[in-house]
Amino acid sequence: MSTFAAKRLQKEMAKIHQGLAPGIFFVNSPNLQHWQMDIQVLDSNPLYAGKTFRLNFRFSNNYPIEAPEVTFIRAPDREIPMHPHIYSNGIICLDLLSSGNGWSPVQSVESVCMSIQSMLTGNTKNERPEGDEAFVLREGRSVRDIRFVYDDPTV
Amino acid sequence: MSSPDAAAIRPSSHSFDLRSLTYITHVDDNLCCPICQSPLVDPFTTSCRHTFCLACITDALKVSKSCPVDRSPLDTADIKMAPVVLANLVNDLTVLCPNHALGCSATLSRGNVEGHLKEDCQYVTVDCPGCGEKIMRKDRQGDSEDCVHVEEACRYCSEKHRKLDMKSHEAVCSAFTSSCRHCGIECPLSKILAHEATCDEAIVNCDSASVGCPWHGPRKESTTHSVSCPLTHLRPLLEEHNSRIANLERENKLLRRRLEASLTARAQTDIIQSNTTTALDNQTLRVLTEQERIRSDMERLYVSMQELDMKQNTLAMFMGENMRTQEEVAMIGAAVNNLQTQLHGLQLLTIRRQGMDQNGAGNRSDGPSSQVKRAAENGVLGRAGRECFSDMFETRD
Ligand SMILES: [Zn+2]
Ligand SMILES: [Zn+2]
Ligand SMILES: [Zn+2]
Ligand SMILES: [Zn+2]
Ligand SMILES: [Zn+2]
Ligand SMILES: [Zn+2]
Ligand SMILES: [Zn+2]
Repeated sequence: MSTFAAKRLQKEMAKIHQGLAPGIFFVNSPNLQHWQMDIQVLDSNPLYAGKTFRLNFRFSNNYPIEAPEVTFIRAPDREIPMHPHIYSNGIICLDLLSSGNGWSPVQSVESVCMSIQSMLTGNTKNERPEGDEAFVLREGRSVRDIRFVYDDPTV
Repeated sequence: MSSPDAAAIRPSSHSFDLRSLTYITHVDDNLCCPICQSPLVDPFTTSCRHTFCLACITDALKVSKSCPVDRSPLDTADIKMAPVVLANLVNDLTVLCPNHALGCSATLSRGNVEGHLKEDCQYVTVDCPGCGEKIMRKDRQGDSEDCVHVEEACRYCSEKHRKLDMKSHEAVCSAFTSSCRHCGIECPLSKILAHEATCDEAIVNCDSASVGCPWHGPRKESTTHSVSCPLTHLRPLLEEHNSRIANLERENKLLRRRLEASLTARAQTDIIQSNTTTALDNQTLRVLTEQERIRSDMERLYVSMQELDMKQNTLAMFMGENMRTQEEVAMIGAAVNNLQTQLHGLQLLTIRRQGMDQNGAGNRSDGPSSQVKRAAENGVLGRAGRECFSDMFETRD
């Protein structure tokens, strides 16, 4: 990892230890370019009330110039939230996360979590994106499962 | 990160990334770049008035041609150097030497980092003058041209060591002895410092020297002194006071620096403002005169408007009166007409009666029939006139 990206992530980590916005929690980071965060929806949206969801962040050498890769992941007591822009394999369709015009290098892990939090807060539809099953068959497996295999040598 | 492996040793080039420095004091968020979140390096300001490190905003613009903060369209041509005050402020911040992890303990102002790495830092890699292998500057033997990887014998124990490792060997060499400065005992160099620090004969100050006790003497007597020393009990209190004062002084210094910085910035804006002010004065004066003139014009217009208003009111009054007069005239006309009809009716009656009287008492020469006929004609006319005006009577009621 480049010293530039590492330095920026260390800064963010230091800020996280001073406190995070309500409903956002740091879970762990096996290494600096791989973080996990938990988020909760704060209002009483019946779709998400009482539930916690886990986000997986991966940072490239060019972070924060490039957007991080952010997906929801399954874990004990952690489901993939129902949302018309979230595939059942955890992939999120959010403009902010697309390197290009959506992402801005002034964003941070915390601000991304807050954006995803408000994306859930505003949702009322208990549904997946159109073509979810086909997409997950085609893409999902390769993105999530394979990533975990080489990511985490302890498993 | 802390192990000085080959990859971690920095090349002693100029292209050192200042953005990865470690700052030893807290830096105000206003002095930090929103992209790297570190204190600004070569601050540049955009046309939308956001400030970034030159390197950060250049990298960001390669990916997206918009301001990372407000997303307004932005190109490399739209950024220019930030005010010098700001650059000075961030260059004065105190940092650790970038080779801190390798062992350099230097702290210096950021502006001096490059000079330190180039000239002084003992932990930058240089070439071994003999074989060209990479070594740290501290391992070079002065200006000697010899290879530091060649082994030679220790001056004290004759053990073979590389020149490179000789210093660290001497620090532990058991044959390299020295005598205590206080009691004169001989012991290896590696242990002499530890002995001197506890030597009974060493001259020490009273524990309370920092708060004013003038006593000093051999260490072995210091315990006896401190039992009788009047300052021993007061010391914790005095020390607390001292540290509090030191804290306040530090804070004061920090605040003064900030104040100076903001005063400088303020002074600059003031200069700009006063320049603009003189330029504006003349224009303002002209604008004010113009405004005064327009206001007096307006007042005059207002007065004449009021006059016109009054005249219009009088006119309306007159017109109302005129209308009423016309109606009255019409009414009177109708009444007159009515009266005329009645009058003709009466005349007709009178004429008939006269005719009957004359028929009874002898006829008059003038033929009465022509008279009746004339009157009847008049009567018909009179009724027609009344019918014509009856409309008006009805509507008026
Ligand atoms: Zn920056
Ligand atoms: Zn901007
Ligand atoms: Zn150094
Ligand atoms: Zn050599
Ligand atoms: Zn030796
Ligand atoms: Zn001694
Ligand atoms: Zn004393």
